[in-house]
Amino acid sequence: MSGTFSPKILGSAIVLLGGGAMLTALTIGSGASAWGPRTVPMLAGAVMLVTGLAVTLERPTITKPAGEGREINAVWLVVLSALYVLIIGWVGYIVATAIAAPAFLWLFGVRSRIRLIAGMVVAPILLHLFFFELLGIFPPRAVWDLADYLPV
Amino acid sequence: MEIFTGFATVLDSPALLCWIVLAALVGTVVGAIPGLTASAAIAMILPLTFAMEPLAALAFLYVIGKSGRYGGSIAAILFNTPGTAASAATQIDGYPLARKGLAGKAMKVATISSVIGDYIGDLLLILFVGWIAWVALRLGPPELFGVYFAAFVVIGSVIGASPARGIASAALGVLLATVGFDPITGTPRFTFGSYDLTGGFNLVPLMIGMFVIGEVMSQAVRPDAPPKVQQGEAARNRLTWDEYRPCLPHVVRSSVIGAFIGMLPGLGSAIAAFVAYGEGKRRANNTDEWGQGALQGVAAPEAANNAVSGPSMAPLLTLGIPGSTIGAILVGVFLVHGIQIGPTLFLTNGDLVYALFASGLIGIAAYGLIGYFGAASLGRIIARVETRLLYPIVLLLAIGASYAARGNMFDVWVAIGAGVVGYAMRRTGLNPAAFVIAFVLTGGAEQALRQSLLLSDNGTLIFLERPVAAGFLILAVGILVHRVRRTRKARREVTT
Repeated sequence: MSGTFSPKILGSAIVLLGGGAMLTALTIGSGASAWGPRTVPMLAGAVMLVTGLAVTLERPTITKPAGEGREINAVWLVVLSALYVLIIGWVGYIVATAIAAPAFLWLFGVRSRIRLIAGMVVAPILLHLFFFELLGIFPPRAVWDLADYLPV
Repeated sequence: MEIFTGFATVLDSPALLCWIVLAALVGTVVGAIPGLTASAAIAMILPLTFAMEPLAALAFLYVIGKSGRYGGSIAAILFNTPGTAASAATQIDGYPLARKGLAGKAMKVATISSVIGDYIGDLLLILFVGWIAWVALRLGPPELFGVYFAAFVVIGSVIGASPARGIASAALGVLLATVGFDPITGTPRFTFGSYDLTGGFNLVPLMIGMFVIGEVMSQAVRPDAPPKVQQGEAARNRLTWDEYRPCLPHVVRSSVIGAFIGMLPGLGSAIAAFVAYGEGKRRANNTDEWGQGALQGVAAPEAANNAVSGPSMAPLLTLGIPGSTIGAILVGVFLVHGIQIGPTLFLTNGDLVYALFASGLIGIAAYGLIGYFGAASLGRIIARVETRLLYPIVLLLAIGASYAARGNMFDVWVAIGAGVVGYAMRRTGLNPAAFVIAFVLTGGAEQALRQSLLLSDNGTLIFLERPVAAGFLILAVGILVHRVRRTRKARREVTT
């Protein structure tokens, strides 16, 4: 899995993260009593700094990670998931899921119109019934929510 | 004797028995689906168990973990794709057997060996866990910190692509666990003025992100390759006693190997399976057949990877140190139900612990029966499931489950963020399991460290003045040095 990703880049990122954590940890609390809450974050940052340096010294391996060249699908998946969560806040869980389900299916290669429409209809109903009716969880708040107009 | 009381509790509750059987089925199915792991399933189901009774919730997830480990062997044998990392060693001989038309026989060997291994592991757990808890009760904060420190080092240095990457993953987990109010002084740490961050990151969405959303992202970039099922005619797939008898010594030895490895935090089923396979091959009379389709080559790793299950609960229940990702997720269940894990657990909730063990023993029988009589049919059904339909559903369920944990949209963002981090960690050779286990360990470790320093007149020297604490620190350093030397030696061999 270490793949073609350069250990120098990865190690430098870990070093930056560790160094940043140590500097930020110095801002935790004030006075002599601040060292208690600072200790563990400082230690974790220091360990990241050292291990990051060790990673930069590793030799790059030649194995190619599976799916190289299709990473864009992972980016799309994150973008769609983030949009889905945002849309839940505007139009409620049911409508947002009706939009997101066919989009996710499309991303995974489903092209059949019948399946996309079935996903659009079935997924929001089943998930709504499961989470908010069967488990009794309070639905996320939205500007407008179709669930407010449904009998169940 | 407490185990008999545990059995009485379980057998007295038909609902609990139903949960155990359902868990055996769910775990077997999830484990058999390539790309879906028992950890992912448990992380996703975890919020849905919050409304259940503590014992039912724990038993349900514990048995899913057990049967999930076994279910991986179905995919390894039938599809040449291990359902879980733990069943990768089973694939070496399992798939050649399937190609010879002996998939049914291989799966029966895998089932029986898994059941025996799991029972041996659980019986060792039941026999010794009380003793470990007795010892753990006598450990003070410096000794506990020594144990935590050794756990961090073992987890980081053993399960990463390299010791440096593994320890970096664990350190990242520690760092994230410190976000929020300091538990002792109440000072905000890494909150950056955000109200949502004052409570820290919740374990459930973090797990769902790391193990479910991260895995779905990995599946999204993988080329589509529907699994091909290798089966054979029923008559050739009957397993006789004469065929299984040579497997028994391997099963017993591998179970002991698995049980021992299971007790060590972080090592887990995959390592146990490969160690047992290597040891089995070394001692076998038919070494040439191993790798070509030897039944013993299926029996050894399967017994070992399931024997891990029970003993991996020992450090979790007695010290609060999860030995595996499944253990880390179970910590969430204990916390939600207000049950304090650690040495006092056996004093305050001993009945619950032994009822959990009894549930595990019943769960083993349940997945054994399901597997022995239904693994072949299950494999055929799973081969028909289209992953392009499955993963979008899993993703929608994961997002819903991360909201359901606390009814909080911030948790959904945490899950998505953790998914991205988990995916990136997999792509770069960092280790999500080390990250999550370290995240869970940090609270206890920090408390032990700061209590020790408060007790000490000589600062950090207290860890060297106390022999048990010093012993664990030396052990940790020794393991780290050994791992670094082995990794460097392996790299030199690859380059020459």
